[in-house]
Amino acid sequence: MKRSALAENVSALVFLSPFIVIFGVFLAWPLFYSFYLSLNKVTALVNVFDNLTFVGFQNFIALFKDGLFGWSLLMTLYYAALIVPLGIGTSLLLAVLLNNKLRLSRLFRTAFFLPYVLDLFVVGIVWTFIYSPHFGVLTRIFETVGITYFSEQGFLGRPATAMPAVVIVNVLKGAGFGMILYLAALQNIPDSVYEAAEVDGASWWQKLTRITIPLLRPVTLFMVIVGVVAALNAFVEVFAMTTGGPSVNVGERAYGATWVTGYYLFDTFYVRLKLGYAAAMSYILLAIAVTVSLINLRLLRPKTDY
Amino acid sequence: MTGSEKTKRPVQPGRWARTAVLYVVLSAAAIVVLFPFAWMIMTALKQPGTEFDPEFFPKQPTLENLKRVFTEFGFVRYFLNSSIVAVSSALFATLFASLAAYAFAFKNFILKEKVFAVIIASMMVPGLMYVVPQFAIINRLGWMNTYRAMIVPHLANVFGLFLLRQYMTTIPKSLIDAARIDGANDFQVYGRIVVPLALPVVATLFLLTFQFHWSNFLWQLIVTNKESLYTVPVGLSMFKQQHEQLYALKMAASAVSIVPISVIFVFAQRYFIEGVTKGAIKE
Amino acid sequence: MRYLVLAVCVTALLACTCAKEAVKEGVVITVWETYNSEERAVFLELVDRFHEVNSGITIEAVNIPFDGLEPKILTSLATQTAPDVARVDVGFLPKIAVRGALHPLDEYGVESIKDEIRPVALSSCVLDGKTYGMPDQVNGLCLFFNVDLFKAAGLDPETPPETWEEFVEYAKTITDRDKGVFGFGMRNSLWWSLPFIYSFGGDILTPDMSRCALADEGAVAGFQFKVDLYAKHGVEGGAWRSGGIRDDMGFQNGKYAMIFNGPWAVKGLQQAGIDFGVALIPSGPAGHATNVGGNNLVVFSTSEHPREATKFLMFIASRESQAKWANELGQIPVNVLADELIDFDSHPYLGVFMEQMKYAKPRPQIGGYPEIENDVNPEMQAALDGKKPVLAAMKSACEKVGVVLADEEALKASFKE
Repeated sequence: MKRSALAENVSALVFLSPFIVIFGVFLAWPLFYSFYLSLNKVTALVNVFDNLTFVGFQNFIALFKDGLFGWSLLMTLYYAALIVPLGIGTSLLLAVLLNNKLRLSRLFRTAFFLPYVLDLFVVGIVWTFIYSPHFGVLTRIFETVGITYFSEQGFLGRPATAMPAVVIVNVLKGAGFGMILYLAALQNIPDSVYEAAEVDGASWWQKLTRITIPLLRPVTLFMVIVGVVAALNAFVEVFAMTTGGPSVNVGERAYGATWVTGYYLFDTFYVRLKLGYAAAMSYILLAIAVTVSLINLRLLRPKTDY
Repeated sequence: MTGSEKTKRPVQPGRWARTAVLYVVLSAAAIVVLFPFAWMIMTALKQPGTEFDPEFFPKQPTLENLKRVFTEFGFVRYFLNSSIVAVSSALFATLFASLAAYAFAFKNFILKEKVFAVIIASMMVPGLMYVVPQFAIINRLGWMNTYRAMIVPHLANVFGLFLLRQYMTTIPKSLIDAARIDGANDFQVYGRIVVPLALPVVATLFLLTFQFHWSNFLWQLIVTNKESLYTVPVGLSMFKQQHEQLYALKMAASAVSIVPISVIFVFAQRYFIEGVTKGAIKE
Repeated sequence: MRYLVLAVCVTALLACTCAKEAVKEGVVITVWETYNSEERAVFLELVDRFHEVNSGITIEAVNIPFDGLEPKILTSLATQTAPDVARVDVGFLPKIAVRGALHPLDEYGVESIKDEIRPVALSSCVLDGKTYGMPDQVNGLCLFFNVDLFKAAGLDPETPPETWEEFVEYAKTITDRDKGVFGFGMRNSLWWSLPFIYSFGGDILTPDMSRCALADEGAVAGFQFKVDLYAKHGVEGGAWRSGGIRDDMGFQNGKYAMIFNGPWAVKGLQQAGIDFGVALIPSGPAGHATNVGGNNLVVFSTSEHPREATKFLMFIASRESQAKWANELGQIPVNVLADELIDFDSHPYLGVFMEQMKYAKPRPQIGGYPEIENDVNPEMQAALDGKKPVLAAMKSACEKVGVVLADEEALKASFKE
């Protein structure tokens, strides 16, 4: 028994080693290093590694007092709360629709996947035109049916609509990615399961909610976690469309309605050059991501192995 | 309701209507989703300087932009570089991730859960944090201005490991046990059962990693100081200058840049989406 | 599978072939630049000329995409792999200079050329009395106007508005909301607001740079005027909004009749076939004014050949080089001695740009300037949007600026230790 346990460990190591070696050098060490950075103040730019001033948890304390950081976290949660369910819902919907035996399904799959390979920056620019005040296509469409709510400020210029507008662009761009994952997973569900349900007289909706969705749980779990991580890192979409705006008054201060933490992080790192502060910010993001993931694991863990 | 009707009488009209509705919905969605794509192509065909004319279709369509992309801007070389980087990265990253995922899905070893948790957690730290330390390592290894520098740091694809493990756990355990009883070792189980069964996802991962490297701008720029080693995303960013954006050229180059991945997708989709698995299970 | 193996082999082979480097004799100076293709062609000709007269020095120029330059410089500085020289935005120079990343050039003889350099350009290289670079390009905003829209509104394109009062009148005459035509299009950011602030006698900081001056009388009046253009006079098309049609795009499409823009925009507008004119930005209570932008060439403190690098910088800033640069590219020479060599006939707008530079005022030369921009912009946007009175927005902006100034003091102190 002992020998086989050892053999099991050794053979596992063989499978793991290529990944673990690269992980150790190029991910684990930088991870460790950036945590160390979060406990330091970085002043010099040249030879950063030897020019650190240890400050303990001062960066973290400063972050808790930083109103803009708190605001950015709120905006990030708002962003995640919109994009994760919408993104997953759209992907699932497309996958289920295209899993039908349609003659043109291959064509549609390609159509929905193509935007995913486009540069987010390019997509952002195009949508900026569509959303723009006075001249934008969407603004005009609303005007023709008598809605002038968007005429003066467009969609991205209004605090209430800016974030949803950014989310919609990203959902439409990214749905093809989730669709593929779901389509691939749908292949693993044997037809026999559906056939048995049909014999029992299950409707289309019942099959979807009682068979398909529960069996897709591992993928959904993956999509939720990856989606949350992406939301915590969101930067390009904001950079391309709103640069953090439009302004909202919070007490005395004006903050940006799309000023998400990913954007603030970039600002802190490259504009303000506060590398230690940025590292501390990243670790708070990590803590949040881990918490959210653990909750998801609890909620989405498959009840029975199948 | 439709389900029960269907079972009562196999009426064609109902199915027809449903199919028609489905087509309408899907087509409408496709048009919305593809609009930026169409805009990109149209802009690529416009005369420089007229990119923002209100007309959607170019007044005098031209292929001049496309020609300039390859003659004046060295995109031939960029494509070669990107192909090398993206293909080898995708290949090895997928291989390594699938091996590790196999271990996490089917093997028992010490600290398994803890190691997995740490690996997944690394994905949750913003990518910005990795750039400087990774660059320091590349520099220490003397890998500046090489393809290795662009490829190797990204071969431990945590996202891919997570994805593959999630799928492998949906493979029925009974299949693995049966093979074991027949005397198959780990490599045989991995190569003959798990990978074929997970092929749709393995292929998907290959595609996604390829895409990631095909568009990874910042890292590929940081590790090269030579224009001969620039890749497609670096080349694309050349069209954005301090004060002006060469939109027509950028869109022409962007349109060409997505051709490889689109072709891979169109031709490979049957392998990774349509029932390869069902055949494999019968084996 | 066979193809797969083949692909791997080809990959491995190619990966090996690119490692060899040619060894060059003498001193090699690496330069990271962000020129566009026309500028690069001229730059390389200048490099050739430099090689002819300086046989021991070889310049190796690498063209870096503008968007990636600053991250690339920061990463390379951290690991001491930065080049000798780079061309950086004027706002980036103080930011890295206060953090000890640049070589002061005073000891390498830049004194001899200082008198020839356009003062606004030179001041963007000087920080706390030390010279950290040589100007490479200098420019400021001017007023661009659409000739066709002027004519359609019955205005004479030969007499563009000279004062802000005239400007408002012109803009009101042109604005036609039903047609979607506006007299003016503007941006929100602080730098783009400087012509307003300066021409009303305001500034970002007090002259001794100890305190934020945005909530003082001049700046508030200037910014109030900017806000009024949108909110009170209704002559601005909302270009400043997140997601609005940007000023330059709206100008090109005939949506905005007047915008601020710089010399760099001329070529694109000519290509697009727009009939446009360029004039001085209208004057306010404090006269004419504009801001300063551009690029400087700097030598990094990690460079092993600062003397040779400085020689190259001075060569680029010399009278002859700048005359060539100005004549071939239509840009403002950074060397005033080159002015007399310019062929103004082939660059009709250059005269106006140079005239405008006489009224240019550089932004405060502090490392935290980019931070100030990012902190102040949301407040200005709130004021433009009518969510806050201008004075309240400026006061709250000044609080944020105060934090940046305090950080800057602390940073400088840490380097003196």
